[in-house]
Amino acid sequence: MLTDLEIEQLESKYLNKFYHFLKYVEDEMMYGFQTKERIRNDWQSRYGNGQAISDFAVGAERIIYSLFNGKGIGQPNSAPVGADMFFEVDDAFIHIDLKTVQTDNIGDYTTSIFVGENQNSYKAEIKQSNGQSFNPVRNYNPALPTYYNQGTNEEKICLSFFVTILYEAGNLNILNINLLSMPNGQLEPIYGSSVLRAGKNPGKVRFNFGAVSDFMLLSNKKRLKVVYFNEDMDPSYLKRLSFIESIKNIQ
Amino acid sequence: MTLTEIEEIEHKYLNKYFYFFKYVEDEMKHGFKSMYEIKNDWEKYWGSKSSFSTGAERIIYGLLNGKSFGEANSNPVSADLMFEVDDAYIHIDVKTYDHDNINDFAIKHDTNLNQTSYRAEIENRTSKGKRKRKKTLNMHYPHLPTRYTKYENSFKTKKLCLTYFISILTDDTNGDNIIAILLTCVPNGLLRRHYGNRPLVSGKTQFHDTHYFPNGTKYTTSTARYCFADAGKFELLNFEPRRIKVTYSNNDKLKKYNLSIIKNVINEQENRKIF
Repeated sequence: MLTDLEIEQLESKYLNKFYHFLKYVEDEMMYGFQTKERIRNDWQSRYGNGQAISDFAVGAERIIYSLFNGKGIGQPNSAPVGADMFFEVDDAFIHIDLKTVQTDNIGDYTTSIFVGENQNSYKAEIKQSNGQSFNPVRNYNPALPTYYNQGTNEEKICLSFFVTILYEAGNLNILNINLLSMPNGQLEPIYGSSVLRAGKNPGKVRFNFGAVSDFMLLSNKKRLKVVYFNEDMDPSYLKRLSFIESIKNIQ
Repeated sequence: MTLTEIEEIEHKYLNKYFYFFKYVEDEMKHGFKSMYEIKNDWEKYWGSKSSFSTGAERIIYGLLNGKSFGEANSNPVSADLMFEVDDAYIHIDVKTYDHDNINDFAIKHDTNLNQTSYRAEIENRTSKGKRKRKKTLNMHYPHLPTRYTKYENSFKTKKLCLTYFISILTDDTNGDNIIAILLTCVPNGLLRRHYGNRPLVSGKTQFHDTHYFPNGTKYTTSTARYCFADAGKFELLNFEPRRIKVTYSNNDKLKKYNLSIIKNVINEQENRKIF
């Protein structure tokens, strides 16, 4: 087993690595997001008209996964329980999931984001926003282990990252892209319940990154990296993204 | 294309390569150390047939070819790496320095004739940075064009020629300890209208040739060094961003050396005062 400090060092290492990767491919990513415009007439009538055959996330994920798979790192893993991307590197198993949110739901984006059980290992009590326990107590039991092959020679830490994208409803313009590191479950004694916010349904959670934006055991390192921030966005959106903008300004 | 547009493209790819090298930093460092896994097999031959730069270049080229971008070009007159992208041809060369060459590393990096497009008069430069014309006019005429002319399907297009250097400073001759790795963008030759002779200083080789301009003025030619102390910023862009990025630094080691420009770059990149 790793110490808590060693876990944070690994989380920080890969957060930085993926941040630099996304900055490196930023122009290719933005170009990829725009490719939909070339064939807009062929899909526009079927988008967002209630038939729900597709949405922005499908196309955006295709672009990001293609870049990660083409120029990224590690060995993809075929486990059926995991995030959209799951690969093994020398010192970790890494899960990365993409979350897209449109501006109509900007409140779901600014300081916390929905995460699935198959995307993280942070097991803790879910508390109310005032810090009180729910009645009855709600416990969160994610599906990922803190270590894969725990207790064997093959033991490796399990890390969770999220790429979050805010886009404008209607024109689909991208306003913000972030990269988040969600603490590994072993770190629960350090971060407690503050990592989790209650989701819309019982048993569902949101990663409360606004409350745990620092690596607690490392100095001067954030768990959130701002990859792209459109400075020209509507002021009303800018106001809602003040926390994310404050991180961008110091990174 | 305006001079500002040229600098915008130079700056775009400087940033792209900077983030690329930050992204692969751990793989690059691991690669540099891989020589020790088979040390017994090469150690007895080292120092005569090869040098640290041979292995270091192999690692960097491997990463650039494997995970980078653009289409490699087979042109025989160019830097070690040459890629074509949508809006440019990009030349990249790796240079290694040990602490004996630290004065060069601090402010000026070697350019070979096949690596840049910046032609200029080479002037004498004092230690205080003042410049003075040489007794006999001395010119640097590199071999790369400022823009390549591409012929494809009977169409002719022009594409900008860009030059980047990756410079590695080590504190011993076997390259065991890397002090810093810099990424620099040498101005495209069209920018001579703005920068004049400032980007270049004398190189290692003075050619023993004599030529005459049409007006009868005599001149010689030489290689050159890119002097980022005198032309180290994109002066036509807002906020004049630097033409140098530090992609890796061992700050404890760096403290011992008089590398003020490089230390300033690190402070700016980190958004805090480290030195």
